[in-house]
Amino acid sequence: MNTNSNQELHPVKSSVYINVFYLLIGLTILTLAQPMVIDLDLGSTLIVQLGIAFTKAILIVAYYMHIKSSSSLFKKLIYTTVVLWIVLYTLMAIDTYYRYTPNDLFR
Amino acid sequence: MNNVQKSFYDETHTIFGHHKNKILQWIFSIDHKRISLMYLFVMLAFFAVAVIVALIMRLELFSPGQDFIDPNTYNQAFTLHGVIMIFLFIVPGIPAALGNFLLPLQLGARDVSFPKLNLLSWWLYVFGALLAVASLFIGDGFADTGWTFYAPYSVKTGTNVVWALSAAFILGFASILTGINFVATIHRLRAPGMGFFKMPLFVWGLYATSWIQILATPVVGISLIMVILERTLGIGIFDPTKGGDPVLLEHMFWIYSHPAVYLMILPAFGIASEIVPTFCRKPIFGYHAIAISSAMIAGVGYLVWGHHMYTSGESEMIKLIFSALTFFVAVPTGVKFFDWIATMYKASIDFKTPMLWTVGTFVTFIIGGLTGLIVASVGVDVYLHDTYFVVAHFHYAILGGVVFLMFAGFHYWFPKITGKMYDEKHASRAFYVIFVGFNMLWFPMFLAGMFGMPRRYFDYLPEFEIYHKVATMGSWLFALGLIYMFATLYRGWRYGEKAGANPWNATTLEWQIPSPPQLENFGTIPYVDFMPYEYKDGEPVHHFDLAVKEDSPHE
Amino acid sequence: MSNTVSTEPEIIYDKQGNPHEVVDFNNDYEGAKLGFWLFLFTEIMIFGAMFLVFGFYLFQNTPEFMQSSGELNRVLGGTNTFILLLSALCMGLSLVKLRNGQPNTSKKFIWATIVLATIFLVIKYIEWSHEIHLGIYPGSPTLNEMENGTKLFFGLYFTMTGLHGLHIIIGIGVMFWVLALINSGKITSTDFVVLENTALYWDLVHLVWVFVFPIFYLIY
Ligand code: HEM
Repeated sequence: MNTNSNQELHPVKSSVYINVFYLLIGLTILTLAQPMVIDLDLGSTLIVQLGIAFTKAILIVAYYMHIKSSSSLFKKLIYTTVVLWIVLYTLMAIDTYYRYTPNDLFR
Repeated sequence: MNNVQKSFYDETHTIFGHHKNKILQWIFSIDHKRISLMYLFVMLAFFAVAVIVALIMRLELFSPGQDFIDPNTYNQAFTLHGVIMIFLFIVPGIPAALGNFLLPLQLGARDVSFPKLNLLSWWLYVFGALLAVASLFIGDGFADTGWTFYAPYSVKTGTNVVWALSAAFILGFASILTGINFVATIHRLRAPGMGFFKMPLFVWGLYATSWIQILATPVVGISLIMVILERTLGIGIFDPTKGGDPVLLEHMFWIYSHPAVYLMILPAFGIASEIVPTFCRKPIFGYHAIAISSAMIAGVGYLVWGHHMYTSGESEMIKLIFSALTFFVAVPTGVKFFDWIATMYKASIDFKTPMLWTVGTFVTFIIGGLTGLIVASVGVDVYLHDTYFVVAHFHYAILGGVVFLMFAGFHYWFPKITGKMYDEKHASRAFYVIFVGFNMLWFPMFLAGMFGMPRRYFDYLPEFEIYHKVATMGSWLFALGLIYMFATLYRGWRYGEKAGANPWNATTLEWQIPSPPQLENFGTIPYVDFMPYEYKDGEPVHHFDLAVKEDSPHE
Repeated sequence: MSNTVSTEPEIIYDKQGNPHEVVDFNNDYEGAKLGFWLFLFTEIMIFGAMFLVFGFYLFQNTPEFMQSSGELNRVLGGTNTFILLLSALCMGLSLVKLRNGQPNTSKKFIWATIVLATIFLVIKYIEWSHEIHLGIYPGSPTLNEMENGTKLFFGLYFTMTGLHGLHIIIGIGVMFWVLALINSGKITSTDFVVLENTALYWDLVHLVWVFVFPIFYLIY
């Protein structure tokens, strides 16, 4: 491909990758350690685990996938997808939560 | 423009270099115009098959009792009809056929972003189509589940469900690739100066559609895969005997398939937004509102899938939410209709065939849309669900909305695609025949449905006979009209007069180049610092000559 | 993509005479990247939908899911997590090296990624064969006698890790293709979008595992 200008805009350095790698390793160890160290109920486990997973995901998307240094178009696209998933999950969660339970309307 | 100019019919780029053979030059072509025509022909061939199947079904329903098809064959027939019409005809329909042709032309681009991917998408489409056809002749024949593939029946039946599912999956892939291609093209290849709010409205429709293709199709893809795994390995996810929940499949299915109906209608609305200003000789009223309402329909339309499931055991709470959201979609749709009518207001309308089709669609689609609101209310739908009311509703919306506008588009862009003109008189008569036939075919079904005629039955009680008789006769008229229309177009293509670059005095960029277009569309690319539909005193404001010339800067 | 002749960009002028570049569809770095990201979104939708199914059944069959999760081998799963993490680093570094004009180092890193990915698959194979050995696989008689929740858990386990494994296999294939392209000079330090997209793909495969691992292995 052409246009060197594109690439000189945001050079990437190995050091960024390696620093992020250490962070990710740390988070992975946390993930593994949590159930062994503190025994939480399912809800809290999920919150802790998914919290760590999302942190890792953000690191990966921002640095390994260069979204941090990409144009705003890419950022917007990512936000859109995230929002879409939040809405979809919410709608499904509402159905899952109310279905066949006494909490449902008109019961 | 001189006549010796070569069009894309005479020369092309192919993926493997040059071929002597004409057929190879077509099926390996990476020119978006050729690919679009290939899509068009395969699509229309399948349309013909599905119409014939539908006519056979209607014939069976002509009088009560079993006439010449047994119940199982009837089940397979409506499944075949539904699968072909949805996955093979209408979903690729406007985007892959007309859209592929026009998107680069309207944007001022020389091709789409990924021409090879475009070709791949056509090949996948043909492959999926062949799979579907092959399953007709193997084992117990075509699936008999309905095009919705609901579990647990789709897990248990002996027919070739796996084949149909794989076909649908591959077709979905083809459609995703088209979507990716279009979004990238729209973002990257607009002519310099053309901001998002200077794009023609057809492009806006395609943009919204492509996003739906990208974000919704994978969901149904994976659920179809899970049904395949269910049948082959028994993973249990949708099998109630193993704790699986069939209603979950319905959710996942409609998460795609409901946005899919907006995927069909949005580019069709785009066609209407092109045709209305052209034949009213007036800038369109509320350009921004129409553009944004496309995006809004796509967005909200994503969140209403649950209204297909009022009777299948989702919670009461979510029914209320989905019902409210469904009513909300009517708002941006209403905005569009308002804008079109406002454009037509006090204009001297030129009722050429494309405009006739468009105005005809306004009538039929309004019926389809408003009955949609009726079935969107939970209480009413519990009564009307799975009756012919619903069947009539979606035929009014899809056939009377999308397909009619697609026909409008065929007539509108016919001179651009072929370089010839069809016979105006015959074309408009064909419209009237189809319009009358269509209403005769489907209006009685609203009544039959309201009185309780269930859908997907090969037989009915005697009191429904009159409605079915009228409908079947309507279907004959409709079929005659189709033949009439395609014959007119065919004659236009073979024997029609030369159309010239801009027969309608239209304003968008595709009319500023010769018809049929040349290989890379544009010799010079204009700087677009104007709105798409600028008319003054009934004449287009801007004129360009963008043809590829010998000494053009580009090649 | 094999367009090696670098032509002058086409320039047009507006009414004020300002120059504007026309994007060449054959040679569009941003476009190629955008297209690939859109493809990644479809992948996200696919896996996201599977997580949706998982969440749905987790809610309905909580005790069985927790119990089954405890039966998975956390050591092997954990090892695999680290392996993928390392492979993602290698993939990223190979891109950096290529852009800095060291194609040979870059190729070494790709090889490292391939090796790590293969180890991942081997470990996965050991895990799966252990479970199959115990008679736990979709539709097996042993599994069919267990609780419904257990059936669903393992059904999902095999589907999701299987789908993820399929992505790894495809990734390995793509990497060999990339190596061939580097060797034949089709990917260079200025024309690297194919390698960049491969790296993006690999990051996505890693990303999916970041979620698959905790929800299957760590909810006991
Ligand atoms: C030529 C005009 C057409 C006729 C005569 C026709 C007729 C029919 C008939 C008789 C049924 C079966 C109703 C039942 O027994 O439940 C049906 C179902 C259906 N039609 Fe059409 N149709 C036509 C055009 C279309 C078009 C253009 C589309 C969409 C693009 C379409 C989509 C469907 C679908 C999705 C079903 C439901 C199949 C199912 O129940 O699984 N039809 N049609």
